[in-house]
Amino acid sequence: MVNLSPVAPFAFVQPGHFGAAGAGLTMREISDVSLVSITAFSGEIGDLAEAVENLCGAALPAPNRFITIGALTLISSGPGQWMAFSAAPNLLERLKPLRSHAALTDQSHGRAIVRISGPKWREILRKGVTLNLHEFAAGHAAVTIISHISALIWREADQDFIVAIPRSFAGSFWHWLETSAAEFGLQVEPAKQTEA
Amino acid sequence: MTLPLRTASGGQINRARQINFSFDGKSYSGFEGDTLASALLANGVRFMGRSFKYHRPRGVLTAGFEEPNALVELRHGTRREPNTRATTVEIFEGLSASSQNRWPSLKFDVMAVNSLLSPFFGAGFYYKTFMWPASFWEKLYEPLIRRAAGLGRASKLPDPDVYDKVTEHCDVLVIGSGPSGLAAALTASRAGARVILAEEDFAFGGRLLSDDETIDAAPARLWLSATLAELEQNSKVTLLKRTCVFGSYDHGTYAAVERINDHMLMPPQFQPRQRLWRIVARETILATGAIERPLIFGDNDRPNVMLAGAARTYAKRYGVKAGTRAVVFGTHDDALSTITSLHAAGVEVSAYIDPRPASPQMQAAAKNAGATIICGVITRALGSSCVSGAEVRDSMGKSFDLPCDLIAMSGGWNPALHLTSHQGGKPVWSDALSTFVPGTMPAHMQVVGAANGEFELAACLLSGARAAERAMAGSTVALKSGESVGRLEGAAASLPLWQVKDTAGKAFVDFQNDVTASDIALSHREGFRAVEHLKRYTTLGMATDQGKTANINGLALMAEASHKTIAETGTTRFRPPYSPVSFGALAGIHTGKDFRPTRRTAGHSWAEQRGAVFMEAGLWLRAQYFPATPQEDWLTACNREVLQVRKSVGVSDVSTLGKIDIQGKDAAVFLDRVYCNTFSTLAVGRVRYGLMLREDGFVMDDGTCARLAQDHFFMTTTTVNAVKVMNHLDFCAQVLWPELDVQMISQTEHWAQYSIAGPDARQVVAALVAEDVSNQAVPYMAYAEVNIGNIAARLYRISFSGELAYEIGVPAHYGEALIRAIMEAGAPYGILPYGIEALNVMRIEKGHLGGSELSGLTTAADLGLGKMMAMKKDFIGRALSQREALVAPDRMTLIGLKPKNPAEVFSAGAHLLEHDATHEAKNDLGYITSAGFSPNLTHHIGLALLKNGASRIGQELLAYDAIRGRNTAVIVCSPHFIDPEGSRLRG
Repeated sequence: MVNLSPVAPFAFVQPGHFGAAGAGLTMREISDVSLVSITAFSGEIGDLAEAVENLCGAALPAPNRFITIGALTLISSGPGQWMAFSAAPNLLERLKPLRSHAALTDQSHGRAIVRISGPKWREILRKGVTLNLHEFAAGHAAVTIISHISALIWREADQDFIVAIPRSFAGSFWHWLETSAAEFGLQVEPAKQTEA
Repeated sequence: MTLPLRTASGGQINRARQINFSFDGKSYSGFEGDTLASALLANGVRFMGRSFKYHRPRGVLTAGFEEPNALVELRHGTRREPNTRATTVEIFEGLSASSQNRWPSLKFDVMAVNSLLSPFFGAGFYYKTFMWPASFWEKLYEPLIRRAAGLGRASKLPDPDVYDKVTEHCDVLVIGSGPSGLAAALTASRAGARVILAEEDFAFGGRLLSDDETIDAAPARLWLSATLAELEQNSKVTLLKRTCVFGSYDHGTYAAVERINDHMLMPPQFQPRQRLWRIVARETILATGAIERPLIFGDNDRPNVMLAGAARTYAKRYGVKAGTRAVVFGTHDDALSTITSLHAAGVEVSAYIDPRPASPQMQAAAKNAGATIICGVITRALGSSCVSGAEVRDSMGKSFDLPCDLIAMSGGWNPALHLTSHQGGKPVWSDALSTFVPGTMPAHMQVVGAANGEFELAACLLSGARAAERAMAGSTVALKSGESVGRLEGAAASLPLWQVKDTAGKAFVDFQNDVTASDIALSHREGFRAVEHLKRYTTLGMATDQGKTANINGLALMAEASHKTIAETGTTRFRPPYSPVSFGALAGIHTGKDFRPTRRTAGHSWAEQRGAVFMEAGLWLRAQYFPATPQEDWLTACNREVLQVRKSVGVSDVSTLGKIDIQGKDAAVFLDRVYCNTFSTLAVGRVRYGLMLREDGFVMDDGTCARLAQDHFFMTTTTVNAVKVMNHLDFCAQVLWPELDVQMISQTEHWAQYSIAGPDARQVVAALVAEDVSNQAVPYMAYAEVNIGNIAARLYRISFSGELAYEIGVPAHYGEALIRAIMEAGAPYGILPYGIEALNVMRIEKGHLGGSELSGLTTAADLGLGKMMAMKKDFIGRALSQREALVAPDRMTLIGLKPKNPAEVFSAGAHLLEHDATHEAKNDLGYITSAGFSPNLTHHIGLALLKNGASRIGQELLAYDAIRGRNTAVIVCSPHFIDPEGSRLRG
């Protein structure tokens, strides 16, 4: 039987240290995750919210916000649109009860996802992000552009962000990150298969 | 070592730290805190460059960013940088600078002969002289003139440094750190604002660094250091020195460039050289100060004729005596402080010359310095490579010479209001101040201090503080210090003296462009009355300094010549950038191959290992061909790949095609409207080719669409149009038919997809897929969900090559593993990967459409697809596709071409003519859209758009290729060269 093994989008980046001494920022790829887009059907947002409540025990996040319930993170990604993100496999299957209210589309392999954290996050992120980062608090999410690459970004904690970009842009994103973080030092940690 | 031209003490320099540098190959030393100009002056070097047109010797005119004369090249090799201003370059250990625009040396310059010929070189000289023959201009005259009259030389080598870009947001942006800007920043920060204070200089303080001022009954420098200390401690304040805010844009956006490491030989490892700031400010306070204007008299460009404020700056800030014996020439009381400063620095001030009658203030200042007051003017500077005296004419008309080696002049101060007019604001003339002051302001910008025509220190501090309070919406914060200001320094109203009349020698208005007072008079005589015309004709106000010291004087002379007021004459418009900005800073990290982002498929690394040659398709990199050896050329590789597909099997990466997931109960209705053919009738598990028109009836894109479930479709688009189609569908769903329940999202990135094509394709797919893939189970145009190992995959029986073909899609992380598995499964059949060259040849052989046919100029009928339009339903483009011109019988339609002599070739772009017609546009019948060599037919084939195409099958025409100089006899044929019945597809 043919056996296919996955190759993560940032597999070309070897873990290690880049740029100046110190770790102004640490990057870790998150590759073994499920990502599903949820787009409400016409007039179904209310019922979708209820179904989400029943399924996950939490309300849908408001625009530009995300919520985490156990292993599941729901991120607002546009009007009537959310991204569900989970370390657990088969998310599409688990979200099936939402099917009658929203289009569910598997995006698990469509994004290159990294966690970036560290004291120099602002000095580095502002080289690519034009958002007002002073007002981008923990719990906030945004669909934006990083160095000409569309990105979904959410802030998990004070110095802790997750960035998801289209998979094919991983090389250009890495060029931006490596160059931008060089003056502060960048530590690349090996991907944790179950991390999320 | 103390140089005789250094003051004994004082200044903002670190005398403990000596710095060695060179200028024109000669070694000098200065101190930390010196500019190149101050260090050279301290070493007695006053002659620093040659002028643009006449190659006249020049020194420094100013002590800042407005410098027109002292332009120098810095460094060597890859870091050579032209046109830097010696007045702003910080010296560093090992700095090597050289003068520009001279050959072979500064002292002996061949082109200085221009100066002798200057009577012939007036405004418009080149336009008038090199008029004909016109063809000589580009080839001969312009290169010749460019060589003679020029600024510095770019290195032309790749820049080794990194340039950075950031975006930052703040409540209050303060531009300029003189007293007004500091007062504003202090007040705003105390009110809790997030503040950015940007200063172009390498030290904060503005004129406080150069003038003797008193704040709170103490020297201003104490207030300066206390203020900076407070601002530094505030975490919400960002202090940016060496940062020029060069442009003001919509919605409070400003552009600035920070010269992080320009003051080093090279940036420290991992450090950027410069950083481009995009600052988004809720409120902006402009505190950019004022620029002093020169006086216009004969030979006023001689080295060491400088602005009075600059002479003061050299003395006070740098501890440098710009000369040993000075004459000060002023028209207002601010010039008096130069007498005091120069005297305090140990410079002998022999005379103060002012056309105004002597006042008590003048007498006090002159007496203290031991200077004689002369009521009159300087008519001419004497000397050549350095001023040696002043020719003076007193109020009685008596002329005499005063020996000196420094003339400090001042005609008044002009507010540096450039940023107020970047968005169209027009400055207004102030008679009281004899200068332009800010007029209409951009939203959320205030201008304070000298930039607003407020020259008194007390007024500066107050206006800065008040503006900050307004910016913080009424929050009043007491300025703990700076409220009571001691001495009121007087600089305000000057007696405007635009030009000293009846003088000998050249009287310069624009030093950088060698524009003289007589050039302005000449251009007026020749009819250039509008200021914008004056600027273009004389070049007044152009080049690196943008006329910062020249514009107002030029306008005044123009007004005088035309007997108008300056207000009536108006100003030219200021545009960004305020100061020159390097291209490196604007490009940032996006240079070379990183000019824009690149997209790579999941199988990219595999293709790279196979030695693929890539080409760009939109942002994507796609394999163009796979050479068998590094030496194999593209055509040989392409032929090999095509033959293998048609004979056995090949595989190609089609992941780059746009993929859109479409769901909702109205999905089928939606597709019926966006495609010209019908999709509601498509059965679940089937795929259909679809053609999309634009609203105007022309073809927009083509692709396939599979029905995964009753209300679930999966659309593919061409690679290049993927984004355009997605935008179009979103527009249709959101704007045109919001009543339809349909949702769509791009899934391009989730799927890696490969096309396996050729007579042996089925065996290869069967070896990979657990399910039955026979013709019965998966017929032509079928879709099936299959498993590869334990991975759920999608199988589509579709073909672009015309062969039996399957496309397999897997989640992208498995893409690389899948292509390796396909190659292994296909090894027994000699499978070859093929690139887009081979794909292109095969689709031409089949008459399938590519980008050159889907050009936006073609209709469905033109392309032989007219029957696809399902006229029983409505769809986008339906109505306008029936326009008279779009259904005209003589429209160009798609046909095939082959050479009459199979050995001959033709290319896309060639035009089709009757074989005996003259080669003229009126005989044009059409053109070749795609062409290539078919290794199966062993001759060239092509697709073309041809008038009355269908009725010309079998005719002989001429393919006229003017670009390649090649005419080929061609035969019109069907565009289906291979397997026109399509039996291979269905096998």
